[in-house]
Amino acid sequence: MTPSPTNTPNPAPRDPQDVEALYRRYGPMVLRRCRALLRNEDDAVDAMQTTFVRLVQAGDRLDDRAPSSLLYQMATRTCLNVLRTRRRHPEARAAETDADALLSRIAEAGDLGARFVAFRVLDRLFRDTLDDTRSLAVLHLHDGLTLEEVALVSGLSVSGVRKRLARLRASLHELESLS
Amino acid sequence: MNRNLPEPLLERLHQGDLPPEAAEALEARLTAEDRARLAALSADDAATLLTHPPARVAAAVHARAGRSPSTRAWALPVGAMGVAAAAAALVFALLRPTTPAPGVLPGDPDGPETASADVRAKGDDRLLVFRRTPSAAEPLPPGAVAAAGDELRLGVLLDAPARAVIVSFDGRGAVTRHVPVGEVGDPRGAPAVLPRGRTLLDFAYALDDAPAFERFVLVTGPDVTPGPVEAAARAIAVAPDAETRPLTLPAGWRQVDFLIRKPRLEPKPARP
Repeated sequence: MTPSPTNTPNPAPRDPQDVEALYRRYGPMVLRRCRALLRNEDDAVDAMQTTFVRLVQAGDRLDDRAPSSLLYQMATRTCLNVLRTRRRHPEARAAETDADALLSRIAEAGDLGARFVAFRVLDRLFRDTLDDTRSLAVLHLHDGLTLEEVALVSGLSVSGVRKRLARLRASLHELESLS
Repeated sequence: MNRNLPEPLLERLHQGDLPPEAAEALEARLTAEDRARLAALSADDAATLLTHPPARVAAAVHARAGRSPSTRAWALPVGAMGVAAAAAALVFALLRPTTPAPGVLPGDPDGPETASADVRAKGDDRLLVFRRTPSAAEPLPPGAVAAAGDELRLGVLLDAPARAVIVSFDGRGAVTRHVPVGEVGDPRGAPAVLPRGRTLLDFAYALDDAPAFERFVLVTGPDVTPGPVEAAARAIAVAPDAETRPLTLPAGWRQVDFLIRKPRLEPKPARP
């Protein structure tokens, strides 16, 4: 069968409990995303599974976004958590490339927030928006998407993306000036 | 000159779930290289589904979803990483875990079900046992004879998703936990939630030289935990009727067993 550049697949599975159908449709995409960000096959396979575990645990809290968009961002967030954990090991930091360092910086945004829990406004900001904002930052800063393209992939408005990223940048600058 | 489409956009186009006008706009931007990358995504889809079969991944995900995050490392493993990690993590006293050879055992969960390997339980839960052969694998019927060194692989067939524990005990009275992954008595062994349908465990086991039998028991129920199952197995493992006596379990827990017999040892010839 010759692959078509513009697939028109069957209706997307949406039941988060139907892992087999969701994985059959989106699993390879999720695994590719995890491989690209983690660059370690074992970690990528584990992160791929973790992404689907979180989907199952989210249950009926799935929103109306296209499942591929949702899973892509969930995979990104999962990988950022892995990177954050990985970076606590000095040998992993020593082996980082520039691209790794950028991802790690985004991934560690949460740790910075946690270190300054007395800074209540920022703490609340991070708690509310951090996960989504970090994955948007990866799309923009790591994957090279324009704000319009980030909006298309994430399902947010362009102004929403711009505001979130600006807020994240400002927060990071402020936090780093305190450290 | 058009830049190549960033990977996230290419993926969305590949998934085919963008709004039509957005998809058209992206297609208009595709370079020759992008088209080749899109074709490669389709090929990679097929390769991934072959390497990590959907039913197997789904089983592992459901098993992990039923656990607390702190016990994630004890999830059912999948693929080469999982098998290696689990084999390294587990110490079985008398059953030696081995890595199933892909394509040799009937480990492909998408493969046809094999009724002759099944045992009917109350309800329709079934325990499946396969033995590796030089060219493929054979489903074993209950009571089949298997010798030390034979490699066995377990599976279950469930009517509905269920919390499950699988243990076995042998003719020496040794109890082994198979699901959830972990050593007998390990407090981290939160019950696994196995999905409806057939789930094959990602382990093969080489039978050791314990005499008489190896008896596998699958226990399911809404509040099943490994501790009482292991205790019940230990309580009867050395009894004279250990091959047949049901485990004494809390009300509402269902059990099904699968007995493997060991070859009878030939008596040594008397000295003249």
